[in-house]
Amino acid sequence: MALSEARPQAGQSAPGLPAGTPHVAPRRRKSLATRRQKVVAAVIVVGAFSFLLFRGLTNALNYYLTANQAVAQRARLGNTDFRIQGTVVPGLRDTGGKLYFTITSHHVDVHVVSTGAPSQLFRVGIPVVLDGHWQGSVFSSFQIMVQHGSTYTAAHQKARTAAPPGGRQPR
Amino acid sequence: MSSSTRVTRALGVSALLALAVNAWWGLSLSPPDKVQGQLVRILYVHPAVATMCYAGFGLCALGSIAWLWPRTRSPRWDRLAVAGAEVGAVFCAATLITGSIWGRATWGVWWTWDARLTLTALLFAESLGYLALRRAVDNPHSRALVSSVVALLMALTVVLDHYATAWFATLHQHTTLFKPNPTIHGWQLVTMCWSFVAFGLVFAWMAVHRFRLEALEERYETEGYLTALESRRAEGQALPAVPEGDRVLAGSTTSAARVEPSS
Repeated sequence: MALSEARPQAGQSAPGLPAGTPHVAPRRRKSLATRRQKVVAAVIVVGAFSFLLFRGLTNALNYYLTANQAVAQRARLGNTDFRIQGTVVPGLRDTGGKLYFTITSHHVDVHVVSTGAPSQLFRVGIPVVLDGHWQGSVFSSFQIMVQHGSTYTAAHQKARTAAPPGGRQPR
Repeated sequence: MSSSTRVTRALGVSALLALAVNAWWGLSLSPPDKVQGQLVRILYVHPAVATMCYAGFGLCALGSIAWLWPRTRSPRWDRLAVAGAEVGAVFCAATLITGSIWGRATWGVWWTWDARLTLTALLFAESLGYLALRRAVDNPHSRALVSSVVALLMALTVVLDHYATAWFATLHQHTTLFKPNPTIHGWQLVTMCWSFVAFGLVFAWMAVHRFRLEALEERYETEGYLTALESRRAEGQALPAVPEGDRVLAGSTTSAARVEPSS
């Protein structure tokens, strides 16, 4: 039996009750929220949705510029903050809280001075995404994000396990 | 009444055992990674959890489409949709948490607004909206109809989220496993594949229980209403015949007693 068919409306007497029974509608499952709360909840959800969508669209479509793109667009970018991507080349220098290094992409090099603390994976040869802006011909960065790839290789170590099924021995 | 059966109990035990094996392989047998070192071990949790999140919303979309299709419309599909959405939301939260921990350790940040992360956050917000919507609408038909539309929106977000790393420039790495030549080998590959089995069993256990719980909740509401109706019938038959004029006072004796002395 469907619930909507069985339930009498509020204010009506339930079928089968004697005439002397007070006219009280059976208790329906109370909605968890009042109308105002529902509107507030809807506004919050729509607001959060719109915010995420806005941030997502504005950032995700152009999350970073590669080093060569950033050099090509240097005049347009001016001093505005943006993200630059490239691979760290040898010549890393750490001098009292400032990190000097060079990144490259499509054979274009960009010198970087960074005040941001890099993650433990930061090293020569790893791709990075840097937050910052142009300061003349140098990129001034305040945040370093390491961009690791999707390839996984077992590190050289003493083999403490048997040969994996169908796999390779760690070398 | 219970949502468990012999099959679900067996499923639960299997899931626990599979998780234990996953922890053993992931923490002990699998070697550290050349680049990520010991951080790679979260690989045996995060991708599987994220895939189960997609599976949950996929199940939700499947149930919703079947409910929207007039030939297959049945409350069972709506139950499947809500079970998928709720379990998907749990796995989506776990995806954001594990991903954030991994991101802090490897990228150096807890969060960044790249396409993959933003779309996952959006998916989580949508799932919360879906669940809130189900609580807000009382009529079962309207509830199923409106939530089915939101479920289709979530399914679209899942597709965008999955291909985000291929379509947009992101900090998040590309797919490792689901491609013609997976870029992972040996025990790392075996453990990663096993993590999908383990979290798949957890997902199945949770989804089955949630589905059965929804059915029990509907049954409880129906039976609860009928019991209440029977109880009121019995009360009505037990009442003595009260004259029409006295009925109001009989219902409000305290207020009548308070009024009497002053009048």
